[in-house]
Amino acid sequence: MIEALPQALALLAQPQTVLVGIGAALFGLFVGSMPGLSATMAVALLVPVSFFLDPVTALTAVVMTTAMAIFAGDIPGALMRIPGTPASAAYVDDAYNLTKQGKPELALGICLVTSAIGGLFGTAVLILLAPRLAEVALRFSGMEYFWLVALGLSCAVMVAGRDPLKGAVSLLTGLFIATIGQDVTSGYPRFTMGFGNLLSGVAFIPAMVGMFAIAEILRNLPTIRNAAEVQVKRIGSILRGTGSVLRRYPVNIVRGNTIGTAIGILPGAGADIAAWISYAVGKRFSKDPDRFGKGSEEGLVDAGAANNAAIAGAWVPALVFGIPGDSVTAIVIGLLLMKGLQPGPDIFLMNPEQIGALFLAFIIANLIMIPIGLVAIRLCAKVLTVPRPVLTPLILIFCMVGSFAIDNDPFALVIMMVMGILAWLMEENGIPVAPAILGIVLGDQLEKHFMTTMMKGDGSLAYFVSRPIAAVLAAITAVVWLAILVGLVRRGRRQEVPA
Amino acid sequence: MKLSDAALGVVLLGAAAAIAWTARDFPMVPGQAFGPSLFPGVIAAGFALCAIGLFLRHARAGRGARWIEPGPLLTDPRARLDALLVLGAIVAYLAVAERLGFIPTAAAILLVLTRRFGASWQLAIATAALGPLAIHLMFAEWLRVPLPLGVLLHLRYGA
Repeated sequence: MIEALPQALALLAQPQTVLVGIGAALFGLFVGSMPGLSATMAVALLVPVSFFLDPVTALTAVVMTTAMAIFAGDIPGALMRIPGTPASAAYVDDAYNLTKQGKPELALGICLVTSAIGGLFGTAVLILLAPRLAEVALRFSGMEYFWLVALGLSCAVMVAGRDPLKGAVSLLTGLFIATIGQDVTSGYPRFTMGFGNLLSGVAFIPAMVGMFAIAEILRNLPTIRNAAEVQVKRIGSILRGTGSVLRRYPVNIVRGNTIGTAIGILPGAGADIAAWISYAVGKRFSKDPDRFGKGSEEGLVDAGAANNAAIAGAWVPALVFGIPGDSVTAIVIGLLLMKGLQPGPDIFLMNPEQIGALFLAFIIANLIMIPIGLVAIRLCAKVLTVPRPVLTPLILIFCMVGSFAIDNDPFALVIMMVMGILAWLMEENGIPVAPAILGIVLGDQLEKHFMTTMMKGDGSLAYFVSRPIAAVLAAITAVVWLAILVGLVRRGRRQEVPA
Repeated sequence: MKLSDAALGVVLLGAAAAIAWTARDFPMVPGQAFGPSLFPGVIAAGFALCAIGLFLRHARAGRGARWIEPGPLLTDPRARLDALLVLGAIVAYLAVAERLGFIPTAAAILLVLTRRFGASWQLAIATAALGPLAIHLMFAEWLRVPLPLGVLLHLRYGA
């Protein structure tokens, strides 16, 4: 890996990459700080553009955008009590209450510095862990991959929401969408309803744009005319006082970083769930749990250290196994596949300089986050007043052009619209979207490995556990499903008791 | 629009039946007792199991719940028209962009929607004038995506 460092630097130092990287950072800051626009939506909107760039530039753009967007989500949270992205929702009350106590600088300073620390921690884990895991993964055959994908999808059901039953519905929906088009083993067209455009499957990018951007536009329509009000007009010195708070909570930082990275690695859960869990853990161990939700600096440190760590963590399974750790990396995998790069252990052998460049991009993104973030916080009062009546129609046009741009096929707009309505309906009904995304991305692989293993084993299910690693992975998958079932039964019992 | 557990269960059961019914005449893989219908079959079975889970939940705790809770996007007349306009914009783009061209179509959509969402005339006209040009520059000129020129064709390439 180290040998590839000079080439990796050279790849990153291309003028186009630098320019696109800066543009992506600003784009991420803007989208993240606009309430109602999430980091995943930023990436979904970015993908049609990055599709035309070389892989390193495209990945750099994604890394910059997500890192900045997740931090920027804290800004309207602190100033308006409206989280800019779901990843800032866990601690929005603490940040806003600090602002009301006259300390917006402290709230934003903690968010900014913990974001950068978390991002660097997650990146360190990514750099150290991914190549080691890849060496193990090189020995896997189709059978192990089947179980690995099955395990990843099962984890997604378990962690992606409060209700695993609806998580399962979401996963099955995604897997079904992945079966549309020609079947992976025999080429037989399935569920195309006579549309020739569906023979090659549901186009991935229009589907993502629909599920993240169109659904979000629909969801925000009932409140589109409510003007957002920024409470604070003047911001003082941001980093003053931040250092002493951070020195008071070193354990919280490390714990938040670790929880965040681990949640990021788990398929199906990303920065938002990492922040919630780290915040809850922090509250449980805190000496002062009553202040959580009322302006607790400790709670901010806990959650702020977790969400940016999750971003890098999510890339570990994505690069090593091709199994996305969150929705953003799910989109990245779709992008890599379209560019002819198969994520998996081979990528570390075949493209070490590109992987090195990606790691460097992560480090740079988290280092420049502090200076860029300081400027962004000062500008935020202006950015936050960009009127949504103008922004929403522009995003809609951008979605349409972006979906069309991939294959120059107007049918993409149909896919975008249908998937947008579907995702909106799912969220309205408490069905998390993340497992469906993983199902769409991994459905083909799951079925391909399933069918080839079935054929090799002549239809015998026992063959699926005939190799030791496969048997272990199968056992873990079974344990995950057992845990899901036990959780469901308990939940049912609890509901039975009248409150 | 929120469905109750029982209603969602019925939808899933319907989906399972439709998938299984469509998959019933997929051919087999030569020499094997299974084929392209196997995986969709597993998915259909999964949907059916989820439906059973939802029915059990309904039987335990869901009695008296409304089957469908329409929610603000469908009940609030203003939001409903907003949603129809947004989806209508996509359909309209599909219908006329090829003939009319990207820039005029996008400008019309932007003008209607920004005004509808409450922007002032000045802001709406500025958005409709500059937005499509910026997006056209980015995609058509820089990224070489063939956005339809439509009625503006002769402007760029002469008559």
